[in-house]
Formats: sequence, structure tokens, C-alpha cells
Amino acid sequence: MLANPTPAPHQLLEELRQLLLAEDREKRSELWQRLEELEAEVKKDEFQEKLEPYLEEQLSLLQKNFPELFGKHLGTAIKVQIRESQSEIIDALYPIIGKLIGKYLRAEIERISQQIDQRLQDPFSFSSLKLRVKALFTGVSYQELLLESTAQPKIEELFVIEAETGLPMGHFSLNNLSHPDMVAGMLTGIKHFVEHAFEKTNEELNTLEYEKYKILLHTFENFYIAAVVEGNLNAKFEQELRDTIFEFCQKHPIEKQKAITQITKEELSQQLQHHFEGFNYGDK
Amino acid sequence: MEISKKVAILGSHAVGKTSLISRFVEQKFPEKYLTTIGLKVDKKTVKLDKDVVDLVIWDIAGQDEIASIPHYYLNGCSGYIFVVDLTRPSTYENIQSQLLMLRGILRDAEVVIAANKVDLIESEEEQQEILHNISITPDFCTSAKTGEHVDDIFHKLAEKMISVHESR
Repeated sequence: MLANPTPAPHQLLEELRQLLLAEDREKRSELWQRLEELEAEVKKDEFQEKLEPYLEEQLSLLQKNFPELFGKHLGTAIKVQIRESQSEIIDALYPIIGKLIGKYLRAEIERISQQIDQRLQDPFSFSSLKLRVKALFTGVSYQELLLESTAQPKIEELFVIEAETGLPMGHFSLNNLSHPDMVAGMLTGIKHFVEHAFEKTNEELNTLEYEKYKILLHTFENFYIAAVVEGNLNAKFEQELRDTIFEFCQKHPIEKQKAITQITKEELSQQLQHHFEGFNYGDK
Repeated sequence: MEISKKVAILGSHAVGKTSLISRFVEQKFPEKYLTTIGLKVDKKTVKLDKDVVDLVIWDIAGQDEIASIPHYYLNGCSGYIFVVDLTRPSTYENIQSQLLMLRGILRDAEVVIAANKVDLIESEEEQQEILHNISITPDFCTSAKTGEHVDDIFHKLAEKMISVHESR
């Protein structure tokens, strides 16, 4: 039987190193790892510091030129998104649009209820009595007729305007319009422009539309009458209005004036008021 | 007597017609230049010694050629202000023929000539030299920016129109 061979000297030395230095080696490895981490951190900070001014500059350029750079692509993307996700878009927009519609409806209902209140406050006015008699004979309830009358078109402004100068010769307003001279001038400018733009002789501009307003123009030789009407202008109302304008001009012949003065304006404005103030609300 | 008169403000493009009106009507000078498209109507009341004149001012888009101004905008004008730009000779080089043409269109209308942008002229000598080159002496050198003589052009026009009106 052979005895255990004696380990070689270098093996013995390695074992001794293990015993004496194992702890130190472990600590060194940990320190080395920490050193690498710190090095990486320092480098990252420096890099960021150097890059920061360029980044800020680029960011501000991007913000400034965003519409030019991405507007087209964004537009396309939004169009595609709307086309492909209609229900989601509707869900997102519904609360906003719903609020807007609600606000508009509330304002309109308030306006109508104010008009009805106004009529109810004066139950013995000529117009209220007329509606009651109409209700009695037609069988339609007074309330229905009252509601119908609030939806009637009505004259808001009425101008008699000198054709050549565009100066207002007389003016009747329900709303105390603050700049009748400017409105009359611009109306005349638009009228002349349209009538000359299409190079048609003896053609006249009869109507202009602006949202819920319609402006009826009735041209005579030296002047024209412009009536601003709010509401649903139907053929019957328009015909009655044009007939009343004719009637007015027969009753108060308007001649070409040497000069439009405050006196001539006030006189004609009063005549307009007397003739047209009962025209609205079905009082015709 | 309170009387209404239609007046027009005419001249080449960018001579400062709209700015003169803004200064006169609103006491403001628009810093940003916006070209007038078509027409804009403004109003201001001028009080004279005996009379009050409501000036309804038609600011007609600038045209370098008088013949290009739509004549229907000029119908019934009792007076007009013709504006030139002191810094641009092209706006006053043909002033005589332009005014002659306007007199043919606006036979009974009174005229006041305004040489505008005087604030841009550096010295009195330079101003005199430019005025010497304008074949008709302007009534006033104006500045819509500083307000210099702006009220005067409208007052003078109102006075001329009233004087003609009373003599008829």
C-alpha cells in the first residue's frame, strides 16, 4: 500500500493564499465593481452636461417649427384616426359638443320665454287680444298661437338710403344700432359692387343673408330701402313687407334731397317708425 | 345745422390712407400694415364754428391708377382727400394728371391734398426739397404715426364743403 504523496510546493502555496487572501480578494472585486459603476456615472453626467445646450436649442427649434415639420403628418394622422375610430372620436367629443348645443338651446329657450313673458305681461294689448280672437275663431289654442307668434320673422332695422351717396336718409331700429351711417355706407358699397361685378344692366341686388338675419333691399330711383329681418323669412312675410314699403313710399313721397341734415333724417325716421312699428308680431 | 357728407380718401397703395382715418377716427396708429380690400366706411363728426358735419369716410382700396378705382364708389362724394407718400416719389410724380382725372369724375367735389409720412423725413431741408419736387403744393404735411396735421386735413375739407354748400 502506497502512502499519500506529499503535495507539491506550489499547491501548498496556493492553498495558503486561499486561506490568507480570500477575504481581501472578495473585497477587491466589490471595490472594482463599484469603481466601474462610478466611472460610468461620471461619464454619463459629463455627456449630458455637454449635450444639454444643443438639446435645448433643438427643442426650441422643434417647438417653433412644429406646425411646418409635423402639421401635414398630424393632419393626415388625425384624418385617418377619425375615419378609422369614429365611435371613439364621437365618445370623446360628445361631452364638449353636447355642452355647446345645450348652451345654445338654453339661450334660445330663454329668448323665446322672455318674448312669451312679455306678451303675457300685457294680456290686453292689441296683439294679445287679436291672438285671443284668432284662437276663438280658428279653434287653435291661444298658447299655440302665442308660441307661433314668437317664431315669426321680425324687422330689426329699417334704412332709407340715398342710392348715390350711401348716406342714411332715415332709420328705424329696434336695437338702437350705434353706427347706422357706417352700415348704410357698407351696404351701398356691397350693393354697387355686386351690381357692377357681373356687368348686367338693370339687375339689382335684392337680398343679403347673414346667419339668422336676412337683409331685404328694395330699390327706387334715388334711394333704396334696406330691411334687416331676423328669423325664418317666408314668402308671405317678404311680400307683405315689400307691399308695406310701397305703401310707405306712396304715403310719404321721398324726393331727392339737396342735403341730408339732422332735421330731414329725424323727420323721415319718425315717419318710418310710425308706419312700421306695428308690423312685427303678426300685427300687420 | 348738422349735415351729412360723403367723403373719399384716395391715393396710391400704402400711402397711409387707412392709417390717417384710424388716427382721425380712433386716435390710434395701426403698427401693422394691412392692405385695404375693397372698401371700408367710417364716420366722424366735425364741429365747425357754426355747423356740425357728419363725415362719412369711404376708405377705398389704394390704386396706383385713378382709372382703376371703381367709379361707383365715388358717386355722390362731396369731397375727397388725395394722399401722397413723401418717401415714395412714384406716389406724387403724376399728381397733376391724377387730380385732373379725378376732377373729371368728381366734378363738384372739394379736395384737400395730404403729403403723409412726414415723420420719416429727417430734416426740414429734406422736406423742402421733396415738396419742391411735387408739382402741386400739398395742403398739409401729415403723419398718421404722430398725428401731425391729421385733424387739420379733415377740418379743412369739412370747411370747404360747407362753404360750397352755403353758397349754392
